[in-house]
Amino acid sequence: MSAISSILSRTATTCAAAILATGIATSAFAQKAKDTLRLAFTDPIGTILIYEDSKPEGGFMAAAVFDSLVCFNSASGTIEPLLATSWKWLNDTTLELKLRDDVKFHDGQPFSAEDVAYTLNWLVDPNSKLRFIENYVWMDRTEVVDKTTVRIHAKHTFAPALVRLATAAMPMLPKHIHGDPAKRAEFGIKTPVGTGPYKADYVDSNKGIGLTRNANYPQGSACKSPASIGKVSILPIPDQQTQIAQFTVGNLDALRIYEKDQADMLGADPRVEVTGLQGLGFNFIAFDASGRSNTKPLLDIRVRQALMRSIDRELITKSVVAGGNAKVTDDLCFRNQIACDQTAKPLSFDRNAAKTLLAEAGYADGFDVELLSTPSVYGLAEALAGELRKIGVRAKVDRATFAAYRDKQRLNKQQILVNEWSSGGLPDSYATSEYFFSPGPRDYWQDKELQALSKEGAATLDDSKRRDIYKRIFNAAVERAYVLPISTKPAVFVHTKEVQFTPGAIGTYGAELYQIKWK
Amino acid sequence: MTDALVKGPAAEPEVIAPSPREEMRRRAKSHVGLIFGGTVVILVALIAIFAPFLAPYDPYDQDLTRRLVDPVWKTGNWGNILGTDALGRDYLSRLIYGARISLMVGFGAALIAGTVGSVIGILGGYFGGRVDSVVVYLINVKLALPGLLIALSLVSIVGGSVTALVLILGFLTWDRYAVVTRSVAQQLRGNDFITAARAVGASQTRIILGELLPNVANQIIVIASLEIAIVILIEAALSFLGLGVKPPEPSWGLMISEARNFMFFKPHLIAIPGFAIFLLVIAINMAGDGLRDVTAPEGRN
Repeated sequence: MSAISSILSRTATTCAAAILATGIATSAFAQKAKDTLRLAFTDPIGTILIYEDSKPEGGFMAAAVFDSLVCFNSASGTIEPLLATSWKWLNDTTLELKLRDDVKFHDGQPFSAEDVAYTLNWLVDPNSKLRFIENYVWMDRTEVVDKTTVRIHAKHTFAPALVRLATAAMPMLPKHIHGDPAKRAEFGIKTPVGTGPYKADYVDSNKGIGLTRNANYPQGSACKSPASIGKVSILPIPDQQTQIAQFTVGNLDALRIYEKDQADMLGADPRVEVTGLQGLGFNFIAFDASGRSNTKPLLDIRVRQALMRSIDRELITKSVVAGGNAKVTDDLCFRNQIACDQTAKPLSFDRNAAKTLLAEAGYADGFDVELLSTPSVYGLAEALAGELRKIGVRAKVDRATFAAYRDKQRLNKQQILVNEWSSGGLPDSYATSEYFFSPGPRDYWQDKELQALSKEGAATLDDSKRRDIYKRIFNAAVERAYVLPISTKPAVFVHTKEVQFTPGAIGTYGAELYQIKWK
Repeated sequence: MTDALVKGPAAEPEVIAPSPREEMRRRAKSHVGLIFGGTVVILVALIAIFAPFLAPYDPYDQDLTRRLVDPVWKTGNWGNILGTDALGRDYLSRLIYGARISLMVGFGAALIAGTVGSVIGILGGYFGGRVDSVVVYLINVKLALPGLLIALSLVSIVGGSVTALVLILGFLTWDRYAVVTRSVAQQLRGNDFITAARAVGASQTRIILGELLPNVANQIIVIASLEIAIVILIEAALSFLGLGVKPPEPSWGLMISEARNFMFFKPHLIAIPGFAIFLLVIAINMAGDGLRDVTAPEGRN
């Protein structure tokens, strides 16, 4: 019974907080004077080292404390200088980068080519035992040419190389600290020293994370600006209701919200503002067309088309997708993403046509099916199930945790997937094509043509050729009724009127700390 | 037991004492807890049985254009008496259908657990010796297992559904039945009426079914009433945690879980299913307590 009593006590605490909120809501909306921004993480991180913890929150912190070699400008869709000032391909597999000579780590040590070579070589060293090694395996080795020049030798032609170096997921580490085996294990906790716009004061899984602005940030530009707010403290609060309670009583200045209704209801308070930042995220529903889950009806394209036509995407988006700026989308990529193109449109919403298609396929009485969903789209998945039920398909929703979702996917139990995808923060169509159509546990289509095209896309350097390849992939995905994109998925932040969020982040967390300002 | 003992010598014709059954009926009529609890349980059962006739709407039918409609006391609109949920489904209809799941899980699991536990307990208590050692061993093993934790892991392995919950909870809550029936059977097995039955040549099965079982039935019913309440709470907790009944099934625990987002803004969405669980559980407990008071007045509290 202990679970029940803990639920009861948690409910009681939050209710108490709600009562408190109505009482003293007017206090504490004045953090600007103290120049300290207070945020909360639902999914706390124990280390500021993205290579060890790649959660969205990890990416958010990595971009604040560290810098990558180059920077992706999401407004223009181009790659711009950051730690590197210029770069060129010496041949199909050798990339040479010139580095800035005026950058210093937070501990005062100068940043140089040695640090870059150290970081990149450590990433590909099999002894490092990194979890996401597939992100780095395209690199063979990195050599130091001189103090401000490095050369990256790739194993094979890899088109998204530069854009990979531009994400916050590839920060440059200080060789003089991380290179010391004695300090390496606790680097992300005790000495997370980078070159980024914020210095880490403390990282503690109970206390949270404290940051101070890095005043010496010569590499700042329009692409990655210097920090604006002086101090930031991030509290680990795993329960969203508690976060809301803390925000309402004035103990937090901003808060990431996942459910539409919470954002709407909090936004009704005149002292509160809601900002939806559209990065690379979109919601989709995908059908098992290869029979991996043994769902016979879904093998018939008419059934998949029927399911697609039964969904009123306009109404669903308006009703359950958070962020006032969420829109229905037909595309599997974003136009400011590198090599993005798609001309095919999904079949339009028409419930009668859907019923006819089902009947033609021999399922006039519907069938039983389960929608697998991940935590950020539970509400959407239930709404979609409700729409499918309207044409007689008896849809149930599995509200899976992230780990359970991965397990089910691996074990061939994914009949229909409702999920969001934000390209893993990689602004290149390569990310989406790999996510859906590279062979592996995620591939529930096993379409040899698309698998081959996806491989070809990664190995083609010419941008217009790549664009054409990805166009063929994404068109086919929609025409063959594999995947139906539902809507864009903005990251929604609820904050006091003193705080201003700027759009433009491509990271999976949806915002960048250095882009948050006082009004 | 009382019947058999009191009815020994022929009663004197002039002494008109109430029969034990009459006495029980009299106690039941004046027992407020039993009357209240019993009425509520019967009412909820009737609601569950006649849900299709009582529910004003289909509990699965969503209407995204009519989301989060407030209940009648806020809007005065009798179309959706308890309002609608986040997907525009009628809350009253979901609550009515939810009663089915709670009762189905509660009674279903109690039936399995009662059967398993009583069989084990009576066998151990009646036969004694090695059989009893095995039974005691089984009971001890079961008592040492953390029930809710095992339920959690089993449900996450096999997946949540009403059938899975009934089976899992049924096979996880039989221990109390076994403990009580075993000790009662132990007390009874040396009694005269058992010896008498044995003397006239009744078979073991006949003795257990015909003589023992009627005498432990009261205890089983009382334990069942407590266990049903516990199982209903476990179902609600599992569904709340996302491990029980799957959406869009209208389970009360799931309704609370889905309404968590609105805790600060639309508290009635949590309060209504919460109150329904509270009412049903307390009614079952009161009815159970009442039954015990009425059938075994010496153990009254």
